[in-house]
Amino acid sequence: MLDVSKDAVDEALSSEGPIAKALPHFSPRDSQQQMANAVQQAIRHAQVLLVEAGTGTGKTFAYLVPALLSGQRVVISTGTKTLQDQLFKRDLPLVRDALATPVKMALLKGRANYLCLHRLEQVQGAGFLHSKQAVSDLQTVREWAATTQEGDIAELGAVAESADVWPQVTSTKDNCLGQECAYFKDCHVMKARRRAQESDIVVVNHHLFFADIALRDEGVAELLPEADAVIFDEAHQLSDVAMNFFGDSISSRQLFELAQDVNIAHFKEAKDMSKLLQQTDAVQLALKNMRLAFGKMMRREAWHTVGNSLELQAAISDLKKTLSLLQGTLEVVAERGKTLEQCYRRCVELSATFNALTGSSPADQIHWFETFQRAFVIRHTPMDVSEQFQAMMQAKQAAWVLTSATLAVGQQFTHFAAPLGLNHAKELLLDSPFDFEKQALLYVPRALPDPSASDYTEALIHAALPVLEASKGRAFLLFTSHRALKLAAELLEGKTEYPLLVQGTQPRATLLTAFRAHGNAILLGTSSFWEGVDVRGEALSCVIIDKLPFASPGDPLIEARIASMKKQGKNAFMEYQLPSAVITLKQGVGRLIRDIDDRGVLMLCDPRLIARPYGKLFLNSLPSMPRTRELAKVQDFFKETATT
Amino acid sequence: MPPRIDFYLLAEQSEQPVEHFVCRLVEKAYHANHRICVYTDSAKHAELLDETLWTFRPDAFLPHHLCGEGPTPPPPIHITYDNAPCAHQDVLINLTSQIPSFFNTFRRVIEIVPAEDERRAQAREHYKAYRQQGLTPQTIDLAAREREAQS
Repeated sequence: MLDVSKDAVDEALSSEGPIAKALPHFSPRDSQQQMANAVQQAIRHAQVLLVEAGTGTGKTFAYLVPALLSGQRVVISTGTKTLQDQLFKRDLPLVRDALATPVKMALLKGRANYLCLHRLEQVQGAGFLHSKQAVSDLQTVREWAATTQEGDIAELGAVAESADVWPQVTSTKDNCLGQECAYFKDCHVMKARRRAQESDIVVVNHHLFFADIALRDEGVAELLPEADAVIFDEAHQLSDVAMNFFGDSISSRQLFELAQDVNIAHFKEAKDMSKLLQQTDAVQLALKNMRLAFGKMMRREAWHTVGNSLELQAAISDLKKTLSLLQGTLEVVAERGKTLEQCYRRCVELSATFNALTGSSPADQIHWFETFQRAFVIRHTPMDVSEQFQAMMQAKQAAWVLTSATLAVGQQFTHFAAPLGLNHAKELLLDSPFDFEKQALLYVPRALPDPSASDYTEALIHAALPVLEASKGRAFLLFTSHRALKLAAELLEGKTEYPLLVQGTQPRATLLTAFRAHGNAILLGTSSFWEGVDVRGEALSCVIIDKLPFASPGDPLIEARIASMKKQGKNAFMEYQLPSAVITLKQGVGRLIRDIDDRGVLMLCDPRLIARPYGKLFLNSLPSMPRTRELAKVQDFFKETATT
Repeated sequence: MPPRIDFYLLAEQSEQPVEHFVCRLVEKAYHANHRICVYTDSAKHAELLDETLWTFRPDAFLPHHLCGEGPTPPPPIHITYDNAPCAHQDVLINLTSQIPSFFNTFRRVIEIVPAEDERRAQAREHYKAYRQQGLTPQTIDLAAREREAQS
């Protein structure tokens, strides 16, 4: 084991060090060095470390430098695929080259991101792609398949990410033939996993991490036993992601795909068994009927709200019947081909899961469902993931570093640590190195009514317009609901000379590119813009937030957690809803000051911030900055910016 | 029960504006679990006080609102003017040159008297008026207290 010293880490991040030489704009920061030292210690002694690193700390380098210098095997998990690509393609090579460390690195995504050669072969000629678009997409995929090395579907920009062809030519754990597959040797998923196995640094994302652990799908699961350290960036999302994957679920899509795969397998392996086609038709019809039984609307509710519906119960029992008939036939033909055999096993498993999820609700799980345009999902989500999370951590002596710009609430890590069972972790809280006292102003406008009032959004826009004039556009308006966003977009139309960019009218990345390019635009967004958006410089000089971001108590997951806390005699508002909202607000506020030269106004519109005692917790959790309720001070702030 | 009336006579040539004193008084009353209504001369004056409550010390937090804004139910600290109704009837801090017509609906009324001659004269009028209604106001002479503290 290579023993990396504190000196080596300090030297790497110093003003004369290799990182400074590689990056002309790099300037050393105390907080970055503190974090790097803490990560180095954690890796060396296999500790659990929580780090909140305020915006501008440079946390990515602060963990990459000690990770690369350690010479150990490190798994790094990021919040999204985009961040994963960014880390792997930009930051990681930069640090590796600067430090001249000969580490091998790999990017590992979920299996749905890799072309499946077996499924590509199956779908060709089976004639089950209906639209012209799908047929032409398939042709494009085939041509690419012949040349691609890694089979990462992101390589093929010509076929949309949401194209129907992708589920047909990628695998799931359900439909993978594993070692029995004729293409096993050339399998892109297997190759990606092998590359990961042979690397020192592997970059994954939280979804893949927990999906693999929970489904015992290999990949991350087989990396962990070999890892010396695991680093979670954007760690504030962990407990939600873990809850999602440590539960059980069944979706109409899984059953549709089974039916489709049976059809294809029938064509290849049992063409005489037309009975199969009739039975998969029946399954698909029953699925459609079950979707209708939930009602037209898109819903996200507790199971007990529909569990007793007679119409739904009838649809469930129909579906069970059709599945059991299909299973019976598959059992007979399973021996006629690998795919049929695999479909049979899948049918048995999915039927069992379906029965469990449409049965009675387990006590320690949240039983809920979601409906989409044409699909539904039913889920069991564990109320408490701390045991599973701890079991995962304790399976192997390794360092666990969990970091984010937003972990603490009022300087405390409890809200983050407790749900994951992290009781004895080392904690490090690093303030942003930016001078918020000089760079920022917090403005809470006057005259706004109760946030639940029907005219709230109108009053908000009335208050925001003069601010948008003063800032000359250059603003994010962040909303806590789609309804408010839509209404605000209507109200702003024609009221301002600056370009309006509204979430939902174009893809997120296009909106951000347009926002940077305009330099004076106003962007209206909801949750997806609260996090992970980085616009440096003057294009973003004002962040306006419509309400304190309390999660909707009508959401089945939130509702169940609140109910369970009340049962335990806890104050759900103080211990759960409030701290969650604080973290979300911190994320939103983090969009404003991204650089040492940035200046900006944070306009928090919710009058509860001033009128409710808990306003103090929100204020104490944000970087300390001057406050005002006077529009004139906001105007002065922007005049100063114009002259400096 | 008729209200208790207190006159706070402010010291001369204070470095800090009257509003700072009011904020400290409000803070004390709020931490003693009182609900406070601050009655001011005008919208502008109310806003000045609002701004001061929001900024007077970075570590202070006094949950308040101006009349006509904010959430329901209203917060414990209320700033009002022009006879606008107050959300509660506990402590009234009067910063105006008039005795508010509704003063006797409160448990306690605090008159803040700045050191200027004109305001002192006005305060004497208010004192008399309260006496005529059979009330016995208390006087807290902060100027005298300060002198004592310094001697």
